[in-house]
Amino acid sequence: MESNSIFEIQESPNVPKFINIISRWSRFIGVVYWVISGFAFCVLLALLLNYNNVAREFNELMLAMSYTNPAFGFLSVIDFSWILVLVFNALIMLIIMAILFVRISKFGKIYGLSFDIPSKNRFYKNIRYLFILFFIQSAILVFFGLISLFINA
Amino acid sequence: MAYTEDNAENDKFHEMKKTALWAKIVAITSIGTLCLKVINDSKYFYSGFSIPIVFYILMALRMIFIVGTSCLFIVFLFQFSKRTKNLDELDNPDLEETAVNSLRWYFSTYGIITLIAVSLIILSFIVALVVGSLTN
Repeated sequence: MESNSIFEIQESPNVPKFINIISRWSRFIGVVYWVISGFAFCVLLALLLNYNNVAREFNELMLAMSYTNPAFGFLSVIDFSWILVLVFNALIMLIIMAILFVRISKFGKIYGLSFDIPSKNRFYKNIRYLFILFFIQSAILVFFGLISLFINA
Repeated sequence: MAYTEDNAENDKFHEMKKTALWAKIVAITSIGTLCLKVINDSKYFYSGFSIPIVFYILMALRMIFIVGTSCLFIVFLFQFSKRTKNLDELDNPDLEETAVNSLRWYFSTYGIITLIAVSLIILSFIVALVVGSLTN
């Protein structure tokens, strides 16, 4: 009689090995992103505590940067408060990415040890969420890139 | 309904295929981001500002690094997406292996770039500290 057990699925021996490698790199990237998130949080806190002083200096600096570096042309049309919003957004993105990388690492490791199919599904699901986040980041970059393209052209 | 071998396999490939679809979307948007980045950065060379030659060299190196790594990412994402498309042939487990291999290369490259970036940040901190202590 033919068996229908999910534990007898034919699979290449290299797949768990590759998933283990992905898991190890993900753990490293996740830890680095957590550390960077901590620094970004400190920077945001420092900016908020000295808002008035920093805002005045920063507005002048941004205007100068927009003229000296054409890639930052969009800086001439934005205010310091926008920069705070951008730093806050970056912080949120970094934290979400750090969580996703750690989860990829966790489920990859579980799959590598137990060949558990639901863990493998969760592993791919977290990679998909990471790709969706990368897509949002790319869309934001395209938006600012287009603004820079037409300002100081 | 019993959780048979077919259900398990279909589930597995279903998640993988959805991931591959997003990989393709990310690869396409990355091409757009890269093109805009290159166009905006190349404005430097025609801006007419008197910038020291060493900055031009640094900028060119930066541009080569960005274009090189982005192209690698785009290639790995397209490879993963393309190889996952043919996964319905369950008799050939090598198909999944090649698809996961592309993903492995993607994450390895990402990790190595993160490692380089972290090393550069630490190095610049050390250089700043040394220069600061020497000038004071």
